[in-house]
Amino acid sequence: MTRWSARPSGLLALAFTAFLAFSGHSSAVAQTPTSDPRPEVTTPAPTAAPAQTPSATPATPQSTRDDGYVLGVNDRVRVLVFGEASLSGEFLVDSTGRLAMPFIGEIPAAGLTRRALEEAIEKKLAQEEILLDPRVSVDLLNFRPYYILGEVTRPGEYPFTSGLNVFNAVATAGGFTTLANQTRVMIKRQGETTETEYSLLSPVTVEPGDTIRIIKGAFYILGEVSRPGEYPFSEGLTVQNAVATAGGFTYRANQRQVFIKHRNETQERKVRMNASLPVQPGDTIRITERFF
Amino acid sequence: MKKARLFVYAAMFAMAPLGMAHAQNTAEAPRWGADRGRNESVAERPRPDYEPAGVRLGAFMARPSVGVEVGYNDNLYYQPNNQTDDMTYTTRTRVDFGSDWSRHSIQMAVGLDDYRFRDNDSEHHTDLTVDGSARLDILRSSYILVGGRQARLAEARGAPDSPTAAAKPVRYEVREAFVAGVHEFNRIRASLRLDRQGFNYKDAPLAGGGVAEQDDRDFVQTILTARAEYALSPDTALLVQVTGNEREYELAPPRTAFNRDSTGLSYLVGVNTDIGNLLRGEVAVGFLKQDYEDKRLDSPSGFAFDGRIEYFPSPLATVTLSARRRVEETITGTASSYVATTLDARVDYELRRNVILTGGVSKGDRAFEGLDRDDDLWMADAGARILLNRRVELGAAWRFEKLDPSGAIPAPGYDVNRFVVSAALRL
Repeated sequence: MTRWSARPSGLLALAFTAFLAFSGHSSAVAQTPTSDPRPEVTTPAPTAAPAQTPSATPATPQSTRDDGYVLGVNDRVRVLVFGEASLSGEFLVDSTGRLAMPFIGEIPAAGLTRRALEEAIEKKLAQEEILLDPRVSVDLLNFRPYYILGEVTRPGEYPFTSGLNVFNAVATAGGFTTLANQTRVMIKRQGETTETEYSLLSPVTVEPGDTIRIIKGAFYILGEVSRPGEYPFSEGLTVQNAVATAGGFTYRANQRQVFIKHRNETQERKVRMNASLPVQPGDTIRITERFF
Repeated sequence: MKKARLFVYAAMFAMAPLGMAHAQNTAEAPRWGADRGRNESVAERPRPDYEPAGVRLGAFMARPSVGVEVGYNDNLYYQPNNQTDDMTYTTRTRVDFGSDWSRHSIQMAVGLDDYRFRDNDSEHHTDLTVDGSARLDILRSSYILVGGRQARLAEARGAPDSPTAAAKPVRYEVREAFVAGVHEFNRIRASLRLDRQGFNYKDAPLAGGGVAEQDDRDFVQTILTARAEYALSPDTALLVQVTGNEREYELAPPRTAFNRDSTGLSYLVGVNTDIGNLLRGEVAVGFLKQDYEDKRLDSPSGFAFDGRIEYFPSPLATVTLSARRRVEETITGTASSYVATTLDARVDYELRRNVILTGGVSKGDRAFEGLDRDDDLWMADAGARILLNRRVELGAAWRFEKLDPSGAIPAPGYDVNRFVVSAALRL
């Protein structure tokens, strides 16, 4: 193995200078911050606010030289070390969040912006006395995939594309199933440990590494209806519609009142039946017997 | 014993909901005339969640059941005074067999009812009944039905001909057989049914010694019923029914005082209907007569009616009104028979899907022919059935009977209250 000298030779310095002068490569020089030659990485669009806090301002990645995109597992990047082709190449952020580079070994990458990663590599090259004044450029080649599961036709892992929103992701996954809740979605962003619920009344942006869960939009009806069971929810559904969907009341049904338990509630509540009584996704409707 | 004579009430369309609907045979009978499959009474409503699953035996299903009843009777011997009360313990065992074919069917049942009394051993008795029927489907709405029943029973103490001094209940045997055919074409539904029934009463020991001969009560009855319905609309049909019977007694003079052989005829014209989900019923009126060969015996004749109306105030309640007038046999004194008129009102209420309440009142009248005696019989009952699950059924019932006699030779009147609680295990 060749041991690189601590100081580059004069020939090497000359060649590097010529490269900077003539190279049209956009990722050439870090010394001219006003004209960053690095390729623009597609920036995920602003993320819709969680459903619970519709007025909250979403965190928006900045489309600057350091666009704020945080690298994560399965991102594929191209690292260019100027003038050192053997140090350059394409690398995958592995499951431990590191890049395995020649000579300097593993570099932690997950959680860093591209700029931060460039600095980390430059620092490492200098510390290891591999290059005297390293100049490193990091390009993002492929975003990490997103995952979609739940009430879609083909759940699975799909490649992220720029501008992706939940509806696009669902379409890629074959569309909603008949039982899908088409008004709300649960998303776990990369790095987060819990899911956040978003409203689908407006498009929700998908970020690389997101795990999208399409929840059931069914309602459940039991008791004195002809065909108790699970049925797909649709916007504007009323209890009367729900009963009709379930085959209508039986001869024993109490048609004056109904018991409804909403999805996140533990207790059902008694409601007087009327024509406009709404049903929400996940509701459990119970029709009781009558005595007279 | 006379040879059976051939009835020629032929060339008539036929069959039997009216009158024969009350025939003793419990096997499958043609559908009631007013039943067009639109309504379900509380009593006939299927309850799949509470019906026993049965035991499959090849192409047949067997449905065995065992029930126990504990009851109280405040007038065991149906006496007007000095009533004797007692506790009753009854065990009812029954096995039903039925085919599971898409066409044709065979049904059969065996029942054994054992009655025990706490203080009156003389009343112990066991009833055995075997009945069955087979239906041969010919066309979609044409079929032939044959069936029969054999039973060994004990006569109720309050029956008109039951000897009051008998030390034990009178035992008797019933043998029945029938064949019926039903054919529908265009707007007409025609049916013809032939029944033959034999009654054999056993001698009863008397309390003071000796035996009460009962052979003079034994008779064989042949009934031919022809019936036709013409559908005015899908809801309503006109009907005409002609029924002829021949009754032949086992004994004749000089062994008996009278020759009680007779022939009878009844004509009924009526209508049956099934209106929406509110009401269904069949009502017919006509004429009846029974001619006795012994001219010393009165031959009753007169107005005849038969009908049943079911009213459905809600799906949970069925109100049934029924009325009937017919000629029944008796050997009491110089009476040839009595004309029995029965009016009955009943309510079945489905409190819960598995809790059925019942109640009813009934007024009966027995007008004896050739004897100055008239019995007014009042009955009332109330009860509840609780279907705990497919296998267990509980019940409770109360029944009241009151005989209010009148005439120069009245029967002893009585009041009887009976209470029963029951539990049945069904497979």
